[in-house]
Amino acid sequence: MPVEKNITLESSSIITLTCQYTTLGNLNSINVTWKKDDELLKNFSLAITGNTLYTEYTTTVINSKQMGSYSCLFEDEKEQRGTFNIKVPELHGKNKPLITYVGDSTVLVCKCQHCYPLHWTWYRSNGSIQVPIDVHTKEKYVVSGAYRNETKLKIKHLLEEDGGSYWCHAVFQLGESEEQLELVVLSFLVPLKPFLAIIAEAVVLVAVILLCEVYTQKKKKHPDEGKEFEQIEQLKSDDSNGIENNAPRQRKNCRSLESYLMEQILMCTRGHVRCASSQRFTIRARPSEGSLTPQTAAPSSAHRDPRRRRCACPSSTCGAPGAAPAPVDARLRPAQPASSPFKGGHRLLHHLIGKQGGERHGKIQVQVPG
Amino acid sequence: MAGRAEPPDGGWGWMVVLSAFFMSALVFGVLRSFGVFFVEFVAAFEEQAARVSWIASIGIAVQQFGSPIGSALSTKFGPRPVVMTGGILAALGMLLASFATSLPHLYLSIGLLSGSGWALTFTPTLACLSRYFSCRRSLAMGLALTGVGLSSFAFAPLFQWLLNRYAWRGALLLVSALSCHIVACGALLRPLSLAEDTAVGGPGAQLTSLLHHGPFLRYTVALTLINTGYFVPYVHLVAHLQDLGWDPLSAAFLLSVAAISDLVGRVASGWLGDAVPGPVARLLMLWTTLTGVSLALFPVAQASIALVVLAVAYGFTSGALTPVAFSVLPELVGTGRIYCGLGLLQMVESVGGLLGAPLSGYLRDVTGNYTASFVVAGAFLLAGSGILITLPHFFSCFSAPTSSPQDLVTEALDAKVSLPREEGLGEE
Repeated sequence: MPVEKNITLESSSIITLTCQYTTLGNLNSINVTWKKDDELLKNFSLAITGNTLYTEYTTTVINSKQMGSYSCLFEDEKEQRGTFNIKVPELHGKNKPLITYVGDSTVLVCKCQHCYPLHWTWYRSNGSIQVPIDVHTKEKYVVSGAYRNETKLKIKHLLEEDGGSYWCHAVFQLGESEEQLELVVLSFLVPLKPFLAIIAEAVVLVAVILLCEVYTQKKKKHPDEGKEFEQIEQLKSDDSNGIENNAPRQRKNCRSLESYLMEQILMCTRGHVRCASSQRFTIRARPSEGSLTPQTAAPSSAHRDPRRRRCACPSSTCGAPGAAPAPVDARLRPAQPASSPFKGGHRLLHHLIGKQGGERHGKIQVQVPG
Repeated sequence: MAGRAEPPDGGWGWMVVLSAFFMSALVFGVLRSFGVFFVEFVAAFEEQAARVSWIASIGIAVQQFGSPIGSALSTKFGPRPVVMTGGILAALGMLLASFATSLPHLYLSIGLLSGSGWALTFTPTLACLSRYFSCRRSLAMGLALTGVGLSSFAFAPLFQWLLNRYAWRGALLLVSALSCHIVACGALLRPLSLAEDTAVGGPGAQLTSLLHHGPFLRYTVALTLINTGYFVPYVHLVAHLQDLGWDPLSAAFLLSVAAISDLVGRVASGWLGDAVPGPVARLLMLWTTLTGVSLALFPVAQASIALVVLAVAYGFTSGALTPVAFSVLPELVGTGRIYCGLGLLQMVESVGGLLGAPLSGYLRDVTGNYTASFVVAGAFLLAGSGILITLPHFFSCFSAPTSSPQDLVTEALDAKVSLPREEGLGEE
């Protein structure tokens, strides 16, 4: 297993490298050499203490020629080697490419953790060649750095050609260290396409929702209009004979509850009808949230009035038990469809109330036989 | 234009729940995930983090203070046009922000413009939702508000991916396109006319009547106190954990756990609010007290297990109190005045929210750790829950109508139409 040690040096210094070798055999027969990158070195010292052989090599590192790998070699049965790697500090930066847009300005940053270079230089790469950047053109490039261990390159008025690889070099007395940064310059069209796609989808969604609603409302209105016409005629005709109106009630086509009740009231009040005969009729729900639908044959009790059960101790609209609105409410639950349809909301009640001249004018009891 | 006597409690209401779900995701989910943009803004504009975080603060402040305006407009024009306009404003704000060249530009476009868009959106949608439901109101609220929690999970990674691919300008452009879907949410808000609407009058009349309504004012005070303490953990929990020696990854994981229990709490509390009889204010008091207690216990807990348990408890209870807080209001002021009520409430309670975090930060600076901050936050919550006891009919099983416009209408509808019974009909 190789024995190695990394040493980082920024400026010239005197270094002493020490190796020790411990063995039980004869230390005198071991051949000790020092090498720098394969070149033999002289001027190293040797010492033996007990079972350990010490060897030391001292050198002055002045410039980059003295940087490299120094090794001490012990030739026993096998060659044992210890290596010292003497290097300048390395730059470690983030590897994410920087994304910018045309016309923007951006800042490329190079930092060194614990080192202080003499100065920094910036290069662009053109293929495999690094081209220095002319930082004297202040309109385009500005180099700044708050501290000696970082540098910032600000590029203004970005163009698409400015994209590519940038290099920052940290210059030390003993060498240089470099780092690569990636710059991507996009035109505004790049995000514009998904933007327009999503906007179009939202517009379509809104249009679909609104059109669906208009469509369902049209369906609501048209059947209504036809039936109202019918009812008015019915009213006019029934007014004069005033007999039990089984026939119109059991008619299978749609009729509004409104008109029916109106009719009954008119006939009751004018005495045309025995208001106590046992007439049966069914009112069916039309499946819209606003419609009034009395309970019809509800086989399963679960459908009866879920709200009543849940609101045992209800909020204000549920009311205390036995309150007057209860019977009305029970009939007003949207229920399952059943036989002959009656349509309508409880607009009727308001009409009735309105006819009596206002909300506060007392209660109206419309007893329809049952 | 007479309306229904009862909210539909279903039917189209579920579409409104869907709309509210996406709307709360697009408003608060975006706001909560905006932190990922801040790092980019700091680098791009070479500004400090504190100045950049003003963007979100201005946005939230405008959204909350502008709530009454949104409510008043909804009362007059119905929620649909107001929310659709709000969506367009919010998207426009983000769009303009993508062209920003300086930080004040962002304050105006995101903070002011998008903020007013959100003001026109959030309150009217929730008020519309509470008009559509009465017996399942809490559940509907809970389901709708899960949009906030889920979107925080989804949007943070999404925004980060957008930033990596398109940088902040492109990402803002696409967030603007995303915000356009608020318009679609608004389109789903079919107007619903309830019987009380004619009785309560226009926005001006409603606001005056609300300001004279004792229970409403007390409720506002209670919610303001609750709001003061509510946000403290969101802001300071991570720092507190790091003070205790947790590493950032575990702290973030704990926040995620709390967020999940927040989600569960919302839905569970929504269901519970409808299932339990009586005024919902009692449940609100329960959850608020529990949240206050768990907050106050935070400084006491030292062991990891205890902190995890407390985080889950805080998440659950604070999530639980949110839908209930919105459900109490219609019971207090009636569905006719709900738009204005909610708007006014949001505006006043925002004072609490804005003061809460800086206050706890100040306490931390003065005392050196977060003990005082958490305890004070818990105290605020407990004080708020104490005021809730003073709400009407708190101790009764039934709550009779409390506001006179409702009395008016209930009598009018007293026309007894006892229709003949079919076989199997009639439980009364």
